[in-house]
Amino acid sequence: MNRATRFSCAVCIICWAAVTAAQVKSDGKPISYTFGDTYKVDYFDNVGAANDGKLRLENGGTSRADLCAAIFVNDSVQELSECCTCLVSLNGLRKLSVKNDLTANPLTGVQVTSGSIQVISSAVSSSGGCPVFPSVIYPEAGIRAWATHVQDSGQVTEAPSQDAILSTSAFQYLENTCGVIQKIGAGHGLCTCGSGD
Amino acid sequence: MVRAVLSIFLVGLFVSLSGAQSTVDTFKVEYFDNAQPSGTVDGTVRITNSGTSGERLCAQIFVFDPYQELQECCSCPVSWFGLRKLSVNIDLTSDPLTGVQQTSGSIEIVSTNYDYYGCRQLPTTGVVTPGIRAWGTHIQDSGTLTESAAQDVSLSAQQLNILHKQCYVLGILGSGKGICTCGTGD
Repeated sequence: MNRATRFSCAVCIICWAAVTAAQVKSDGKPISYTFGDTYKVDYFDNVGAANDGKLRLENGGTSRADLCAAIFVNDSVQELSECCTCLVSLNGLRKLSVKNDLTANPLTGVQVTSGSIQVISSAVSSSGGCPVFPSVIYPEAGIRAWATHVQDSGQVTEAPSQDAILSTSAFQYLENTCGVIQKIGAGHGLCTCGSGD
Repeated sequence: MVRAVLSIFLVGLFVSLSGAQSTVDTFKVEYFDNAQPSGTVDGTVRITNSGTSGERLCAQIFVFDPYQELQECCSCPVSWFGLRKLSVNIDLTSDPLTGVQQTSGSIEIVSTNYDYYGCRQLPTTGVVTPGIRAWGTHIQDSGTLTESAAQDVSLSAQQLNILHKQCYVLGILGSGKGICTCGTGD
């Protein structure tokens, strides 16, 4: 290996180290990039109609541990309205009401009637619980979700939540935006976890 | 020797970053049936952007009759985590190329980039970019409404080229017909 090659290798190692060092969260822990099978997307519509949509979450046991479902509720024009984190025990089932749990406490005080829901399957904290706001989370596989949807006709249909690739940019956007809600929302913008475990 | 290996690696990296379009996770297929142009029951297609690509996307929509004939096409913007809602009766089948509104057929959605010009009215070009997710409600023969997630399919370059070319021809021959609309939401 000649001198130029050694120099190139040294530059590469320094750059890699610099990039790696920058990838830490606000709590000092490194950002995990193992994002496979951790992200589900769904939607809700016609909130305020007679029927109510439900979001059901199950921990399939992939990680053989309790998990936290980090939930983000966006209105139909990309504005995060509510977020929260809910414990889903190993093989447990949690049931959330769109009307009462996911849209009843919007950041702006105006209940949204339609929008999208993002669920990130994440690890419980070292104490075994879930943070109130998902502003610092660690993706870990295992959450499965289904949602019932209230159609314009009033009929209720159901489909499993769709799997998507959780990109670093989307992950950080959701974390950071929820962090802002935590700081300035004065309690508004926090969804609730419904029933079950 | 080391220089040669490094050169090959760098050339390969450049080609992989600048050349091929990713066609994984960019193509969704759905169907509609028992559409009733004057009826009260309507099917609905909902589209969201999962944020996978970290950018706004265009949902390129192609509506076919049951005989593989393209009837309508259009391109609709979908923001990060946004939700767009389209009516089968009003947005996807009310302006067919032939003037005959379809009661059944297939809907194909290609997830593409939102470029400097936004989403072109007619999807005749575009860089495939992953992130679109879709759901469709379906009117069954009994009148019951059901729902499912749009299904993921591998999109070949040839298939994409055919879709774009058919929509291009539709734009030339249609005299304004054959252009679907984007419904509500963002």
